[in-house]
This record gives sequence, structure tokens and C-alpha cells, in this order.
Amino acid sequence: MKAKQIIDQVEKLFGRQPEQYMFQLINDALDDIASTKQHYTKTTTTNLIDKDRWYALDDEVIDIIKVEILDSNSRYVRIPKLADPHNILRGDEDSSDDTLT
Amino acid sequence: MAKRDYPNKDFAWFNDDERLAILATDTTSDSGEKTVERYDTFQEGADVSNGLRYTFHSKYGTIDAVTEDLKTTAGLDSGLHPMVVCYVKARIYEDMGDMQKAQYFRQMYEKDTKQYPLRKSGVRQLSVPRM
Repeated sequence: MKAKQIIDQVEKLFGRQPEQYMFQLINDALDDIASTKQHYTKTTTTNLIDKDRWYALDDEVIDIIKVEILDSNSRYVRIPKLADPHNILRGDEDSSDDTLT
Repeated sequence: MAKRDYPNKDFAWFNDDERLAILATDTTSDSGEKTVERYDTFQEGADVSNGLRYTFHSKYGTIDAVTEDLKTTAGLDSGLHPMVVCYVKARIYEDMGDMQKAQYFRQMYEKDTKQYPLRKSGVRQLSVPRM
């Protein structure tokens, strides 16, 4: 269904509405459905950066299903989720690579 | 530091609200670190192009043109499109102050969204008629 078809249905009931207002309502509906259904999955690939622990997540991410690393045979292999990250002793707050050995 | 021969053995991940953390086992024996533990930041001497892939539940794309399709542009399953209409009607009635009609469309939206079956994979139940 195109956005125009939704707007046409609404116009029949309420008359002409501002286009931007309609887009806002449609996008609100999409956000609301996404928060309850969580069935839309996506996969993103990025560089594995040397001496870099943290990778910023996009705003579109709701929750992470799986993470994979490219192995030395150029195949993606799933890696486990750490159950107790709060127990990691060594931080990675210093921006200088020299602190990592 | 860990090599990428056996990522499932030598790597692990966790995340906070904004970031994903990748850890690798620290296998070096001559590390200058005083604190010893299994995991540390990944260090192989160079970046790995497209070395990290993650799959996630995502928000839908945004609609900003009348010609855009909710399935192809936003990724919304076509069976859920009528629910968007219900939601929009409910919101307009709310803005108009007609809470009774707003409630009607809101309930229709919530009921249909909750009941809509989305799983295309996974175990399905057989519906066996009672004899």
C-alpha cells in the first residue's frame, strides 16, 4: 500500500489534511508497530577496527539478535554474547592506542 | 591477541543502549598489562575490512512522499498496512477531540496488531479437529 492510498482513505473520512501531518502520523504508526511487533530485521556490516572496543549503533536498532566476525577463511562466524560484561576489569576509555598492549 | 581463526572461541560481544562492544581473548604472554583477565579490546595490528556483521530488530523506514510504498520503502509487512490506517484515524479523532471514535480505532489498531501472525519461520502448530 502506498502512502497515497492511506491518505486517500483518510481524506474520505476527514477531508483534505496537510501532507506533512499525514506523513508524521504514518511514521508514528510505523514506530509504534515496530516497538510492539519487532519482526523487521536488518543486517549491517562494518569494519572491525584494531584497538577499538565500541561501535556506535544506529538509531534504527531496537535490539541486537546476533553478531558475527569474519574469520581467517573469509566466512562470518557467530560469536557469543557476554553474560557478565559488568565484570570486565580493563576499561577502554582512553582514546590513545598506546595504552593498549 | 586473539586471531580470527576461531571467532566463536576468541570473541564475545555485549552492548549498552548506544554502542556495541567487541572483545577478544588476550592470548599474549608478554603483555605489559598488570591486570590479567580473559578478554580485552581486539588488537590484530590492522583493521579488518567488513570484519564485523550484526543482525538486529530494526525500526521501519520513514515515509516522506506519497508515492512511497509501506512495504518496499518502510519494510512493513503488507498485512499490517490496514493497521496504519486505523492508527492514523485514531490520532486524527484524538486531535479533533472525539475520544469515543479515537478509542474505537485505537482498540481496533491494538487488537489487530497484537493478533497479526508474522512468523514465516519457526515451529508451527497443527490445528487438529476434535473428532
